[in-house]
Amino acid sequence: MEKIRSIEQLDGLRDRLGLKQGAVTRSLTFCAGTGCRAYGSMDVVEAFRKELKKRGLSRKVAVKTTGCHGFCERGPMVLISPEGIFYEQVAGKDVPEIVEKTILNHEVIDRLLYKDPKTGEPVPKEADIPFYRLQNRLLLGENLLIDPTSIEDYIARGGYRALAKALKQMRPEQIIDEVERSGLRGRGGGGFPTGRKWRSCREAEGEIKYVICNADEGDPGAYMDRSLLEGNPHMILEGMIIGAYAIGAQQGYIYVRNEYPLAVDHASQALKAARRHGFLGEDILGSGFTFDVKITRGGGAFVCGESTALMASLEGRPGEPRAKYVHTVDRGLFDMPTNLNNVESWANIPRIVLDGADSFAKLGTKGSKGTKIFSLVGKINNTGLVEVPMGMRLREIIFDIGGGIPDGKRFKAVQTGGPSGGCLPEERLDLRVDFDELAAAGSMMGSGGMIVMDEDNCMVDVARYFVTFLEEESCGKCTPCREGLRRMKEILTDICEGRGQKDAVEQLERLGRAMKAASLCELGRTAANPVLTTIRYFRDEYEAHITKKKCPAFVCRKLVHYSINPKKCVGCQACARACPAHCISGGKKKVHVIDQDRCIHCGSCFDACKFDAVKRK
Amino acid sequence: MATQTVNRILRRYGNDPTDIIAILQDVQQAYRYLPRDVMETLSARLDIPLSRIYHLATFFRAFSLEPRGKHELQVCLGTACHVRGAPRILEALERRLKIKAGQTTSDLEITLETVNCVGACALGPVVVVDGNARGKLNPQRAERLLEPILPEAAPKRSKAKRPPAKAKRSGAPGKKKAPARKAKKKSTVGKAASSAAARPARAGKKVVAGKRAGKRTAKKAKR
Ligand SMILES: Cc1cc2nc3c(=O)[nH]c(=O)nc-3n(C[C@H](O)[C@H](O)[C@H](O)COP(=O)(O)O)c2cc1C
Repeated sequence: MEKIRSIEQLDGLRDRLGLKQGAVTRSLTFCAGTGCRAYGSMDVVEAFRKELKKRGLSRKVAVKTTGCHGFCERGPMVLISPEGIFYEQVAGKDVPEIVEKTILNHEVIDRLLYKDPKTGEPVPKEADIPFYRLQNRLLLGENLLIDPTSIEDYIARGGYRALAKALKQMRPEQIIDEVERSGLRGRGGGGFPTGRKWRSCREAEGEIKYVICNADEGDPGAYMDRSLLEGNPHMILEGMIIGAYAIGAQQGYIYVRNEYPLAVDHASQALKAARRHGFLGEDILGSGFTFDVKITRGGGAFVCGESTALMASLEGRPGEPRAKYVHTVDRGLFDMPTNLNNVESWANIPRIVLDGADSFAKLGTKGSKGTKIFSLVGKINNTGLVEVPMGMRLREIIFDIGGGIPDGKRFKAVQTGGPSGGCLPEERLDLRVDFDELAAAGSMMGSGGMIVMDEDNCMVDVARYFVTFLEEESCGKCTPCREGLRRMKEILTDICEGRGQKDAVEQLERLGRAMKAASLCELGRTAANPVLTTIRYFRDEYEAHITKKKCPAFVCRKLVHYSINPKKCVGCQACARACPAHCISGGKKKVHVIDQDRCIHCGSCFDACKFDAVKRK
Repeated sequence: MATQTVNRILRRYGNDPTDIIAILQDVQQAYRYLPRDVMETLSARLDIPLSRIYHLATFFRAFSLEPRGKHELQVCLGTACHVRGAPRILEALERRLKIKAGQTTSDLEITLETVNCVGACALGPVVVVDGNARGKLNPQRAERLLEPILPEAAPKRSKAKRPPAKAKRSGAPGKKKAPARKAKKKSTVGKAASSAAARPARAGKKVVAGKRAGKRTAKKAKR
């Protein structure tokens, strides 16, 4: 492969690739992200390849596998072009029928279409499905169009055009101005203005400078970074190369979570392809600029997402944060000026450079521009990744795009911002989601996780979950975080197990204040947020646990008691069979009885009973 | 043979001590744990104090100081899985395997651990079996995941399918189950005796993943 050295050459290649792709009249696009793969999407793809081959259609119909489409609830899915037909939950057995009817005879198979839950009407086209229609998928939309292992696909979509523009037509300061003017704020959690960070790093003194892409994505329940890196690695790489040029960095790193093998694979392939084409390495695009990128896998520690901890682990040291009297843009990795940005932040760069700051800043609110990807998960009908302009109301995201709560249950809370974020109740559903509004409500943007909870979730248990998570992930270096979390966990465990003291809530609040004031890094400073917001919005649940020794949601097992209603029990033995403690007695057609001394309160009998005979209290 | 593997890994990274974490990751992958003699070799060859290698080995969850099982079960405890009932899945697997999260059966067949989110939230609750994510689980379905990797689990299923009656009621659990259980119990014991790292997890009773347990020990020691 000959290296590309000029804009004309790049444009020429793009046009040739575009023509070639345009020549393919029909194509089948499959989501092959981690989620859909777990549903077995690759088997479906294989089945299609075989079927097409059998019918001699292999050359006429292109089969393409892409990254995550975002509508994870409905996988495995296939998009049939040019019609734009969307089939959901496709299985291997549907394949011959799809080829026969839809590919050959242009018939739509109703059974496989998405049905609008409100009207029950099938929706043939992907573009008309409310989940997609109400979004603004500037970043994620590309995932559907690109095979992440093909640099040609990316170039055909205009990829690396922004890099060419930056290197050939812009000075580094101009790029930084443009990014600053766009109002882009970091998508990794803090929301720090990206342009300002770049400028500080550019102005910092140092022979060598580094740029890093933070793909550690430690927030449980968030997976947009993985989907971007997995689905469109070149977009992130292009952003990084532009950033490195603007800042004056020679070396870049992508720090990826160990749990994301597919993302590592796709990013590695992207690096190789970019080197072959002359987008990485020496004298990039003939501009004289030299830059390369290395991928590093994380070791599975949440705290390594924090900037100084991440850099420590890149240097081969344990990932413990340091105090930031000196910023990392001045002295970061190997004590050199270092610019760290999140995956999604980098992904926004090419478009800002290509289309200009104004087109980016058109979307969003006063203080938060552009779009943001959220992972809408938990008790929600349309689990998936959604990309919306900043400022959309929580209610629209959860109910219009997300399709509301499954099984007719009642919404209770939405948790945003990961372990440093907070839980927002129903009264806050009209909040417009951006950095500042979330912070004002006591929560955080974080990386964009949105975990929806319903009436069956206990908020004290959720607070305990996050505190347990953080207690284990705290690196242990500073006392307020290490000890504070440990005490919080003890107090919350006591509450969940019926030993809560009268002043437990005040104790938690006091600890939270101390941790906020005195911890070394943001992990400890924000760790109390899940506790403080649940106290703020769901104090009654704490009180029920502490004073009445009851868990209103029946989650905290020590506070839940199961018994069998003799009037309803038909003696079917389903509960006895399900009971892992073997503590339910009573023969066939006889009323069953739970031995309370041996009961482990696991709830298996409650789930197993089809006659509503197991009572919980 | 051992040194050959280590040499190959070191060559891959040009003997660069800043790549120590990546090197340890490759060692972990090759041996399914970090053998002490390998850590000593690395310490000498890369001129890194053994104490620092040990610090890394106990800090990061990806590393294990004892051999992991042939099969790895990772129960996702991410938030989305948690609110959909992941803790009960973990409990069911712990009960079935008679080991706690973070431990390995004594026959070195299965390691049970927890992860903080595999990013397959739509499928929650998720368990990753030898790298393949399995979703939409409940405790029963999760136990069934063991069938292909745990030969003794097979009879249990057929039993579950049978009309339940006597086995359960007799109080003494089904005969078919008995041997399996005994086998597993042995494994727990073996484990507890051999594994210092696992001890805090056991003492704590609550769910604690393996290397996390290791990490804790280290942290405690630090204090
Ligand atoms: C405990 C902790 C964990 C973090 N985890 C991540 C992470 O997984 N991904 C990420 O991009 N940023 C994470 N951050 C934020 C980073 O420290 C940093 O602010 C961010 O990567 C900067 O990029 P941005 O300006 O583009 O947002 C974390 C911060 C803390 C305190």
